Amino acid sequence: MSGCRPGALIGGRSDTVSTVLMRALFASLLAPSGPALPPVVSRSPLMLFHVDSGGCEACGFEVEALINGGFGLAEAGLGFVNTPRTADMLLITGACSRMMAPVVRAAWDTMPLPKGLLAVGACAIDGGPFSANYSILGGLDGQASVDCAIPGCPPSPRDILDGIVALISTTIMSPGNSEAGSQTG
Amino acid sequence: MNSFPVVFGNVPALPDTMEKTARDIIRSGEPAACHWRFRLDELKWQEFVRHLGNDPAVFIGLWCDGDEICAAVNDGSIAETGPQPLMVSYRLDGPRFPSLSRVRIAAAPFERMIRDLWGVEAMEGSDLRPLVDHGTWSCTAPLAKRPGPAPFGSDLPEFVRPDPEIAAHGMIFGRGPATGSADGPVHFRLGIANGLIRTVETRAGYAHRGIIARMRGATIPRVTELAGRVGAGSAVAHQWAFSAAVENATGIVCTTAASRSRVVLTETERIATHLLTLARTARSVEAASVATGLYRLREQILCLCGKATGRRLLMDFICPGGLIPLGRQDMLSFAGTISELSGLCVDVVSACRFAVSELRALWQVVPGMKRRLQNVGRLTEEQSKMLGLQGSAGRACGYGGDLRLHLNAYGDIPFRPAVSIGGDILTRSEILFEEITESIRILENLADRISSDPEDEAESLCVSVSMPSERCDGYAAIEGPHGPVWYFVTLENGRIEHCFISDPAPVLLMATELVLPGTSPDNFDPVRYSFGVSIAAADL
Repeated sequence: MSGCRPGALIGGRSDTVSTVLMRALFASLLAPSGPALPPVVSRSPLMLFHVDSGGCEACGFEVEALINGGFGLAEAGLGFVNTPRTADMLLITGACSRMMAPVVRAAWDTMPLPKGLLAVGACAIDGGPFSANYSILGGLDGQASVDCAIPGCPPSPRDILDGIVALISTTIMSPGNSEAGSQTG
Repeated sequence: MNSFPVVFGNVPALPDTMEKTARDIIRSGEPAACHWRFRLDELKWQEFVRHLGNDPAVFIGLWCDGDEICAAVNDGSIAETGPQPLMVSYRLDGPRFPSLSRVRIAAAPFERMIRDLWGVEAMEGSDLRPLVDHGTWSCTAPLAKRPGPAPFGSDLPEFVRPDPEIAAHGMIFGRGPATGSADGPVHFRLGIANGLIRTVETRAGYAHRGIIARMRGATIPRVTELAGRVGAGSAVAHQWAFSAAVENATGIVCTTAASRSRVVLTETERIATHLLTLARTARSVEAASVATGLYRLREQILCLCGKATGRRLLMDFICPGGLIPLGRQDMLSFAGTISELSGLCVDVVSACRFAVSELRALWQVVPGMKRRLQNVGRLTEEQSKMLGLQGSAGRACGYGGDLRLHLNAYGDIPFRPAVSIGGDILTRSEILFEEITESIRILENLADRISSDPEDEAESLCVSVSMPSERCDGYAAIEGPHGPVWYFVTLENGRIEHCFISDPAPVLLMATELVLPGTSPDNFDPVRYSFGVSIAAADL
């Protein structure tokens, strides 16, 4: 799980109920046969909705390569959707411009529970080369708590895939770890 | 009374029938320290604007530095003369200046950007809407000497009132800025009536990162990093153009090996970006087999780039003086660079040679695809000329040159620029395929030359750069994947005082808006993707 910080509480907030739901979601998706947490959602695989919050598009290119470049997303239990209404996780790239902040918020509010937040690339984590200024908030750092942060400028598709899979695996491997599988409110 | 001068024998001299051109007026201004830059007073500026409408000079860009408005045009067509800019400046006397967009529509996005960033308004401009500031920033006119307070009021976006036909019988259809795809955050507002797109309004600014503000007063390495992040699809072209502009200002001359290495990186980037544009276009018309093949080939090339240079998108490899200097732990040593780049050429050529031909053939035989793309999103030569559109989209409608023909780095590399006259999506796609083929030929040609360079050349991939403390100006233009990328820099005390950027993205966005009316809403995505607009580069 190189490059991944599962459960990083960037915003310093945590929500116990949401955390449990998130963990249950991941457990239901990738749990081995036998006794496991009961499923909390009726669909599988884990669906992601990508929002470019204002960057140089490099991370977006790599997400697009992940979707179309033959990385076996379906085998990894992942898929991308074109509406947040059916998404389980919000994947953010870009440094979060002030114009995009309400859009990110609206996408988040539209998603059904349980849901998670993924920051892909240096910009989305803390602004990277685009620190906060008159038009940029400087990433999700201090704005929201993210479940997984994948560093890189840009991270490769393999890094992104490994990060997501590691997040899911770690959450399942450590069900008692209260710091794993956080959820923003 | 005859006012002509009498020269001899009481015979009046013939009046000067040759009309002045805008370029003559520029040259009649006060020359600056560099030979391509002039200053005009207000009257001469107005005269310059009047004459610019009929001048064949190619418009490059319009910027502000707080005290002056600066416009750049190319002295003649780029196809014939190559990059020969003339920059003219006009000292501001208040928060307004005579507009250029009323005679050159391509100046409109620059004027709108100037108003948003500096609070300086173009009088009688063709488009007075905000471009990137839509009332969400922490201040207004952030680059002005005295920025204004943050705006109050509603966050609701403002749009142009729909025309009566749409209001009566049509509908408004919004798309973006979050669609789940990776094509950049932008909002399109389409007015649809009688089954056809009637109006298109673009709301940009979602990806504005304040690049111009960040570059002001920054160090050379920092600006090089930012130049690579203007738009990821043309990162190499931007970093090369910026580096070449600094070299032009400081008088640095790159070694042949460094120039050739830059060509390798630029052409590889061109192949990857064109493949992405084609893949997105194919996907938008549901040609899944072609789209998958194009995406897979692009991924293969990016993997080769990552293996050879450590950077899949080839960012942060070019710097003023040559290639990235020793000491960067995450980069190759110069000794290894030559062999790695030579290997990259060979690998990319072998990966693409047959795959591109097959995909091109597939593109032409997929049932219904050709019919779907033909005569759709057609940009005429007149429209292209009006916009001053260069690059592959310009060449697809018979207008626009290729800067590579005039760059020293390409001097001894034979290649043939692709030109056509169709102007529709199919022609633009054909031009991209043709350019990929030419880029493969260039890489094939360079593979042998790079590896046969003498050993000591490898060690001189980056000449030492000593920045002068005195003020100096420089410019450079590089043919990026979608058109010419221009940089004009002013250095002082070893730092960038001002950096003016011209990317083809804003004009390509205007071209998209121009060709969409009259087409079916189903063709919106194919038209948009076929231009390959980088929203990040348009928003800066």
